[in-house]
Order: sequence, then structure tokens, then C-alpha cells
Amino acid sequence: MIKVNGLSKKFKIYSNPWYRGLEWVTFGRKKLHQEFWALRDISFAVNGGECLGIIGPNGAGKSTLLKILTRALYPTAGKFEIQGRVLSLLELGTGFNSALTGRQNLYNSVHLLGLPREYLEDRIGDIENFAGLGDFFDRPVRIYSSGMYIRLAFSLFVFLKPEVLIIDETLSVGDVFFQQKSFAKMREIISGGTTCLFVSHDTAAVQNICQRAILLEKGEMTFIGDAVETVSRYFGTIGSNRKNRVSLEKKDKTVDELDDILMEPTEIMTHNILSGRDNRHGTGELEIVAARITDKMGQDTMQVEMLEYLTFYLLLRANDEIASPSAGIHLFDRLGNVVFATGTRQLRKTLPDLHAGDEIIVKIELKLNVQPGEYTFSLGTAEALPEESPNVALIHDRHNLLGPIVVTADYNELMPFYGIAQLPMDVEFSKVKK
Amino acid sequence: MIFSIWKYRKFIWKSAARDLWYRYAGSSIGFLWNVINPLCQIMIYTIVFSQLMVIRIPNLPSGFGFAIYLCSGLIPWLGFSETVSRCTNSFVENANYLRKLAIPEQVFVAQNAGSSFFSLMIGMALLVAICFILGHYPAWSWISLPLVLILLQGFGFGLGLLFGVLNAFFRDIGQVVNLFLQLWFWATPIVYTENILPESLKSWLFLNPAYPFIHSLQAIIVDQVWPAGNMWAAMILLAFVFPLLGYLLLRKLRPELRDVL
Repeated sequence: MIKVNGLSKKFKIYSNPWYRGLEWVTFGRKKLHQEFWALRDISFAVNGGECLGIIGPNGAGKSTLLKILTRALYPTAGKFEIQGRVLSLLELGTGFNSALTGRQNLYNSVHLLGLPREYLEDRIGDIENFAGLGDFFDRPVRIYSSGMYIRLAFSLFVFLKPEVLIIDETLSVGDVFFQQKSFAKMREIISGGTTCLFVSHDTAAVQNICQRAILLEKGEMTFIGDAVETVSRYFGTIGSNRKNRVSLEKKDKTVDELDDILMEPTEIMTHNILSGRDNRHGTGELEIVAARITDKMGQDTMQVEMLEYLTFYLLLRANDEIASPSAGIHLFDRLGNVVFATGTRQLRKTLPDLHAGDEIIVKIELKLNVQPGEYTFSLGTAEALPEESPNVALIHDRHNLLGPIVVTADYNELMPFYGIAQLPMDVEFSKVKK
Repeated sequence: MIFSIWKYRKFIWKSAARDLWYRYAGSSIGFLWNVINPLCQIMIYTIVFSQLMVIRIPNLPSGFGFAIYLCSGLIPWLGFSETVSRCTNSFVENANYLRKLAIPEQVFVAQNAGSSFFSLMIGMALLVAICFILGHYPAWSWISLPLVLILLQGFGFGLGLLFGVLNAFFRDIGQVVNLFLQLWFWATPIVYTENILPESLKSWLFLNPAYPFIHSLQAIIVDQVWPAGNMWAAMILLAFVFPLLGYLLLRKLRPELRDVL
């Protein structure tokens, strides 16, 4: 059982380490540090046999929270109570000495954890079996692969039968077979009454093992509840990191009326998502001055449910004569693969020729028929080169690494498809008469 | 503090022993270097101070007599200064563990003190061997040797704990301590004898906290007498006060200590 009450952690940041000494000799009357609150007022409780997920973007305070709970850091304020022996996979392998064999290291780790030797002696056979390292078990850890290292450490931890188990990201290192075995083992020990905290960016794993989860953002707990909901809120926060949650007051307008408003250059400029000069290239003759992204209700967002639309409004300005210009979009998945890329030219929608100083607004509606997750995108303008192949164009302006676009889904509902993206598919049937 | 050190005694013992064993890992004669290194140091000092710059010591055979006087102070000093300088670095050195594990901070200091104690034991074994070779045989007073050495290590542990905590916050401390140890070595009658000091300086020796230890050891080994009562009092006081001071400082700064590692 874990009970956390009002936990806060403040780090003092000194620009010069000796300023701390100066504070000491003035008995703190002179304040020379900056405060950084890594955690603020965190409270939750986890019961035995329950697994609580902790998710949040990098720097949200997840590791700090775990370190405090494993007593590697002291909290600035608040209390926590943990019943039973805590083992943390954060410590995974930290105690390993590369000159010793796997077996010797296990004994060493047990000493490091302050446990008696006999404790391990009863279990060493099971651990050896589970780790499946074969001859390597009695060879120096120095020659282990990183996967073997994790296997050794994880095997030790699950067989020590902790009352409270704290698991960090590390678990995703082993190969897929060992991962499956590990997750099965984790479920087994959780159902055996072990309290578990699971910190991961692998939201699918969190939803899979945890009943409940908490969402940390900038040190604050912004949500606690059902794991599935927490994950979907987590994706929501990534989308709202930018200041683009400005709701449009004119909600009751029809879509056409909305378009009239949204197609205004000043509207696009004020809700521009392009940040400036970073990640940009091109000749600059047809410039993307501003871009705005909304959902179908005209609300600024980059978060969308799968199979729903996002609308991109691009304000383009020609700095030269442009014949048959084109504007387009690339969508990239988490691994950097181009999921989809197209432009007005590919859709056979010819934009008018432009003179220097002309401005044009292009509206792109994109249906996100892709699996839930995070995507980045790029926006670009180009001019066809008639003497070249139709698939080659001159890039005028391209903004890369925009986003992230977050595609969400309700995992409790039946998914409309599985895989990377939905392809057009029709089904017909007729019952065969007997 | 005592309780946590007791709880982790096996870890301290094992890692201290392993440290000694693996310090020279990869070299072909490994462990032997633990013996060869101090032996060479002793030989250098002995040759320089007993053959090149000859000093006569009463109560000892001439010639290599000075070697015994020198070793009786030098070997414990080497152990002591190793303890202080290694303990000073123990938090910084083990930052990796301290950032992630709940092990009490002082355990790492104790581990370094333990490992230095092992090398001190090796040095003392060499000392006894040298005495035998030079025909200076042990007397009953030598029974008190272990006690004095333990008190010396206690003092070293305390100093190391104190400096170690400060060193975590101000990394310059580690360098300052090493420099300070060198000065301290020459300020203590180890390679020279007390009676070559002018009277004016001699009367200030009692301010040197290493003096009671070194003086007692020289008395036990060279003159084969028991240390005087005031020496015992000073040693016991130092061996308890400094670990206590170190612990109080650690307790005060503990919440922030791990933040800065």
C-alpha cells in the first residue's frame, strides 16, 4: 500500500556553487538561488494488488516522484507512507559490478538492498531459469549485452517478491519474448497482492497493466483516474501545449459562415502556428506567411479523434511571378516515416498564377484515417517544373517538424481498423440460400 | 548512524574487500600491488632519510634504526591520509548509487574507510616484518597497537565524513583536502624527530590533532612503552568527536545532499 499526501519537491539552483556557502554564512538572509519545483502537492493512494500508472511528458517530474518514493531523494514538503518492502527497477543493475559474474552480482545486489543472503539462496534456481541466460549466468556481466543485463536485473527483482514494486521505463529493453514473459510475471505478482507503480511512455502498456493512472504535467498532478482516460488526456495535453485552445465564440454559425470568418488573413495571422525561421527551407518566392489549424467546429486544435477532420488554413504570399503554384502537406509518424503526403497539384486543383505581392488563402481538409498516436507534419509550397518529370517540383517554402498532431481513440470502443492507416475498403454480402 | 552501518555491514565489508582486490584488476599480479606500493614508498623514505640524511635515534640499533622510527609513523599516516582523502570523495564517487538507491549516505564513507583500513593492515604487516628483519623484536606494548589504529581510523572516518559532505556541495574541497594533507604530513614529526624542532614550535605540537596518534604509535613501536594517559584521552576524544560532528553535519544537510550529486 502506498499513500502519498501533499508531496512537493523543490530544487535550489545556484549559478555558482559557492553562493550556497554565502547563504549559509548569512543564515539564509541572503537568497541567491532560484527555485525549481519539480513536484507540487502530489496526493494519491494505491492499494495492494493494484497497479497505478504514471504518465506525462518529459520533465513532468515522474522520475523525481519515483526517487522520492524509493527514498533516494528527500521531499521538500508532504508525506508518504509505504507499507512493505519497496523494490524499484529504477535501481535496476545500478549495483552490478562488471567484473563479477551474473550469479555473484545477484548476491551482491541482495547485500546492497540490505537483505540476508539466505533470502536469495532459496530463489536462485528460479531466477536463473527465468532469466534464461544459459552459460552467461556464470560469466562476467562485462560481456553481457544490454538486453541480458536487464533480464538479469528484472529476474532478480520479480523473484524477491516485493510488497511494493516500482517500475520505470527500463522494462522495454529486452526482446519481445522476454517482454511478454515479464508482463505476464508482473501481472502475476500484482494479482498476488503486490502494490505497483508503473512509469512509462508506452501508453499501450500502461493501459494494459494499470487500472488507474495519474497524469503529471510540470510537476503537478492534473488528472487521476481510469488508465484509459488518463492516456487520452495525456495525448490531449500534448496537443494543447501550444497556445491554440482559443475557442471561437461564434459557435452557432454554420460551417459556411465559419469559413467566411476563418478565410480572413488577419484571423489566420492571429492564430498562426508557424513559429518562425526554424526548420524552414526553400527559395522563398511563394511564402507561407501563416497557417492555422482547426477542428470542424472552427476551434484551434491539433488534437483529433481518428477518422475526424482537421482543417489547415494557409496564407500564401507571392514574392515573384509564380506559374501554377501548389501547396501541400507531409504527415510523419512517430518513427519518422512519411505516412502520407500530397498537395493541391496532385489533387488536380490548380491554383491561379500569381504576381508579386498577391496573397492567396488555401484551405486543406485532412481526414486522419490513421492509428492513434502522435504525428508531425510539414507544410510547403512549390512550383511545377514543366520540363521535368511531373513528380518533380521547385520548393519555394517548406516548414518542417510542425505539430505534434495527436490522433486519439477510445480504446473501449471497437476500432474501425488496425494497422498504420485505413485504406478504402467496401464489403458486400448476400446470404446463400439453402 | 551506527545502526545503519551495522545493517549494511556485509555490503561494506564485501565492497571494501573487493575494492582492494580489484583496484589493480587487469594487471597481471593484481593484489600484490597492494603490498608493493607501500613497500616502495617505505624504501624510498628510508633510503633518503636514514642513508642520505642521517639521523640517529636513541633506543634503536644504528644504521637502519631510523627506518623503524620512520615506518612506525609513516605507515599509519599513509593509511590515515588515504582514509581522509578517499572518504572526502565518497559521495561524489558514489553519486550513481546515491541518486537511485535508498542506502544511507554514511555507508559509502564507511566502505571507503574500511577499504583504507585493509591497506593499513597490509602496511602494518610489512612494518612488523621489517622490525623482525632489522632485529627489533615486539614487546608487550604492541598489544595496544590495534586499539590506537582503530582510534586513528575513527578520527579519519570522522574527518572524511565532514569533508565528504562539504565536498558534495563545493567540489573544490576535495582538492583543498589533498593539499592540506600534504602540509599536515610535514607539520607532524614523522620523517623528522620531535627534538630537532625548536622549543618555540614544539610547544605548539599539541594543537596538531594527528600528533597524539603518531606520537603514541612511535612510543609503542620504537620505545616499546604504553602511551601516556593524556595521549589516550586526546585520541579517544578525537575519535568520537569528529565522527559525531560529521554525522551532525550530514543530518543537517542530508535533504539537499542528494539533490546536488
